[in-house]
Amino acid sequence: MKKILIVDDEAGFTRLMKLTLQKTGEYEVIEENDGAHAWQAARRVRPDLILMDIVMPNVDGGDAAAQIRKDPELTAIPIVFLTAIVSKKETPPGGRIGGFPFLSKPVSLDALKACIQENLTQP
Amino acid sequence: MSSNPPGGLPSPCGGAAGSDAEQLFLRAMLDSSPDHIYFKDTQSRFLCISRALAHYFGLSDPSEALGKTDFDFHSPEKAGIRFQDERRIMETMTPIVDKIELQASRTDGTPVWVLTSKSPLCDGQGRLVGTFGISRDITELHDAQEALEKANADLRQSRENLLHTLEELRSVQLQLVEAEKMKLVGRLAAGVAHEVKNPLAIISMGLEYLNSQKSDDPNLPVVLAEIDNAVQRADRVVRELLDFSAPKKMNRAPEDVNRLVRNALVLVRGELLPRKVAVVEELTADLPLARLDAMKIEQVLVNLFSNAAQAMETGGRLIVRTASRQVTGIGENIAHSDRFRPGDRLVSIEILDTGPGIPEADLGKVFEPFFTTKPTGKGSGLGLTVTKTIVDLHGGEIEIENRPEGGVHVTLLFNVDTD
Repeated sequence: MKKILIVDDEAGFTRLMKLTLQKTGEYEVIEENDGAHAWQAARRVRPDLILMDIVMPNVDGGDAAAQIRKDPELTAIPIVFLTAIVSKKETPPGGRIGGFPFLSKPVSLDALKACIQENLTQP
Repeated sequence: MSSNPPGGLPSPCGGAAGSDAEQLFLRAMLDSSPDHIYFKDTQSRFLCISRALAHYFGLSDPSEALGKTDFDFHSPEKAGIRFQDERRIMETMTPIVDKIELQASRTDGTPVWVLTSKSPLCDGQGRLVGTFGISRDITELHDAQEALEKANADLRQSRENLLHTLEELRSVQLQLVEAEKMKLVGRLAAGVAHEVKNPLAIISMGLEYLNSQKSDDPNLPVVLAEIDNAVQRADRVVRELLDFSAPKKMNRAPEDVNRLVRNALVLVRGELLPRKVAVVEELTADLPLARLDAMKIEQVLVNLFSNAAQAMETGGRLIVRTASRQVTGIGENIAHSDRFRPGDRLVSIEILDTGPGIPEADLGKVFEPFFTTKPTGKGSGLGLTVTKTIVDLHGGEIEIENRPEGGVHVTLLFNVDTD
């Protein structure tokens, strides 16, 4: 079972995402609601993939992702941004923000699963 | 006619030439005045002229002019005009006052302008005995006046130019104010988007969870589908709001509008076919290119085609016409324009549908944000606002009017690429 760390200050969102993803039986989901704790959570959990919100108080998703990337032990973990501020027509070339793939909120379970599968590191 | 000695005074008063002192003063005046002064008999023969006029005629002494006429010194044309003037003066007994005449050209070809007054000459009994006249060289004054008139015209032109510049500055200022407003709207939209999209994401995720639940209630899938529908609707409005307020980066290149029209028609095929809307392409071949952002103009066309399709739910015709035209005058071959001037070369794209048209009262509001005539939930009311913004960014114009026979007629105008 793949471990997914979701970092988002919207506790309601992370809770429902955890319930929904876990119900598929394919994932174990760990929630983190503070960007400032994203790096510690990643070190503790060692997830197979991180879903990262961008706009968060304290430390935003961009800084948190950079912090994780700089850690040699975590650098290989794929990170997917989840954002509420990018519209489809504005999607940057290649569908990436700062080199990371991203999903626009609200997101369907199918799109979420497809994106997770595409970005999971191969065992 | 005269018994005066050559060069002497005429006897304007019938031979009674006044006192010696008067004679002396008159002679002194004729000798020293820079003006051309003459006395002529009724046959326009010189009786007496000033020294300055004698000098002008090339005579060494004024007396040499006695008995001669203007025909001895001037061209027949000029002499004829003077002769006729004097005839008229004697017939009507009316003087000519302050007539400006081109007297002659100097040896260097520059004209000499004179101010002339001529009067009938009578003797002591009031009998007409001839004419007398005085001409003053006013070339300097005349040139100064011409220079003044030219300066005045230049000044008027400068004023026109300044007014034009002022008008352009005002327009730029408005654009800047608009740009600042858009920045603010952009920040506001991003904030609203974040605050709305996050709750939508939670609802959406909750729906996904409930969808995966087994339930005996047969209505549950319908309820969940309606909620999902509402989430998608709200999300669409927020996305369009973001698009509307997003900074507009332009990527312009010389484009053939026919190509953009054909691309856009392909993109809306899915909306045209089910409604049985027939497309009539009236595209002029070999159109001049226009500097356009192809993607943005395609977005504009898709939006307009899509609006037309939605206005023809039960079928109809979508006519797309392209052409080039040169502006001959505002109100002539283009209805009205803040941007174009006579002489501008334009390419036009016209889109006509056979739908019901737009209620006249709504025509002025179609570009306003959040104005829509579509049923609730079908349109955000931002489509035409975005369309107009894009056209404005290209320095183009969009006109929307109802066709007399029914349906809507949209005209897009862009400057031809002159580079």
